[in-house]
Amino acid sequence: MLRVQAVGRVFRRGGHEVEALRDVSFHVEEREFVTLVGPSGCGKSTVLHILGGFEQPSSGAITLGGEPVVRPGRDRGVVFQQPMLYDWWTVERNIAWPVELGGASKREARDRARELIQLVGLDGFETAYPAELSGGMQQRASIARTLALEPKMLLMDEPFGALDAQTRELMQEELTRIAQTSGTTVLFVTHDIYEAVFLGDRVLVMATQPGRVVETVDIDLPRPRTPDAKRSERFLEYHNTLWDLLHDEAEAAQRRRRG
Amino acid sequence: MDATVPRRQAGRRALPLSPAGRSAARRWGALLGAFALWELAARVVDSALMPTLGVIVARLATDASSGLLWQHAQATLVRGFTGLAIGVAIGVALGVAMGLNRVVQYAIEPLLAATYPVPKLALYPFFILLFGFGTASKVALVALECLYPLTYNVYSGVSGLDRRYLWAAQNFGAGPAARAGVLLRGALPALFAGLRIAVPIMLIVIVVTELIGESLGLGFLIRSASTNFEPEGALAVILFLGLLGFLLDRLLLRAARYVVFWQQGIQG
Repeated sequence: MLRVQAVGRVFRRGGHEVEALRDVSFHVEEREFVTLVGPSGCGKSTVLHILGGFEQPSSGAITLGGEPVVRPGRDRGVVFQQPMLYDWWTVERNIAWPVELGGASKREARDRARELIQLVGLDGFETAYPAELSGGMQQRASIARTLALEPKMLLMDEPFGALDAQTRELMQEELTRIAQTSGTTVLFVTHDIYEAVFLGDRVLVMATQPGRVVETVDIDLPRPRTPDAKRSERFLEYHNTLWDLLHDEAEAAQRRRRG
Repeated sequence: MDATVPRRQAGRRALPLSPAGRSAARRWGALLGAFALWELAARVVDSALMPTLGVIVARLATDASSGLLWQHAQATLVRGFTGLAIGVAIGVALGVAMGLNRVVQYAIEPLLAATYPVPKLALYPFFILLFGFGTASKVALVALECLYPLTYNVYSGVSGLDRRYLWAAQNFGAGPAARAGVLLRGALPALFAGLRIAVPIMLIVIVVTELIGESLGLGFLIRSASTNFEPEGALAVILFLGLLGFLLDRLLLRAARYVVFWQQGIQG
């Protein structure tokens, strides 16, 4: 289980301090799919970077399975908004690398990479270079590369944000399939309410200035979720609840700005 | 990226040539024009001090077939590339350090900014005092001049590299050496951009240093021909230097396309 306790983050910007995160607390159960939704600038990416171990919190504590999280580690697989594939390597080499770094032989790593390429539906593109792939295919390869770590948990930072609408929907469905079959715990950051409801067992709502978690909404929709789920009555209710929450928060933030 | 000449819209006035011919005309037209101007001027002036192209090329052929040109070119290139190699080594090290570490960047940047505009050739007399008339002072000057474009380019390449490339490597558990590999490969396109600026600088600096108190090298060849009142000899070497610079740039471009094949838009 991932436990985030009273995490705060203060930046120093040109002499004065900016409070990016205040008292962020939540947990993610094993095998749970939690989405984190909030307006841009609310610090949701910062939360993910801290959980990834790339940035340090100013206060608070994080544990994964009881172990404190202080630096990057293979137990948390991070998928960024951009694919961040290494352009000078083929798709297969990109995916095999993290397997090799885990101590596998070249041969084992290559076999494992091929399995993962099948899992994300990139068969036939093993020897392609990232620049030869579409944005959606690049992100598939990036997800496969992160899955190669066999992490306890996936941390995903708006991974579908840069994709077109159709590709995004397809990727969402595939991600639910992959998460279910692999039984991986996922924390998924997004600003898209539809995406948050469709993917999540639970949605954490963040507000801005300072960034904090203001609400948790349990999503009681059956799995596996199909595109039809997005048109169900329940889905729209969840969507509207979250929309109202975010809207009220945005108004409150605006009032605070005006003093 | 061969199509460096932008396509004109149809319907515009065009030369009566095939598309390939038109492309070649645009590519080489200015160069041919410059040669034509020289030829015209030489014929009008009609003086031994301003030889025609035919005389210059004939001299170039003579010096090439006698081996004189190669003997001096070799000396020039060995010195030049030695200086360039030193410049690359220091420039990459400085650029990476500046790109990764803000303290280093703050310390080095003002120094670079203040010394970049100083003509390093002005330091040559001082370098001669320091290193003597021989090869060392020339190599040092080439290294110093090449250092700037290389350092600046590698620095901007490293600092411009998305830090998430390195975060991903950290996430996978990559050690310092593997992360350095990611960093250097990410900065390779910038290194090639720096090299394309540094190689002509290398040729300029080494030839200028050879003009002074030297008995070997293309610079010496130019000066000795001039003092012997053989302008065609000096101009033959200058023509050769132009060819050499062009050839080196094309080679570099080829290498860049091969080594950083994923990078679009490396133009020649």
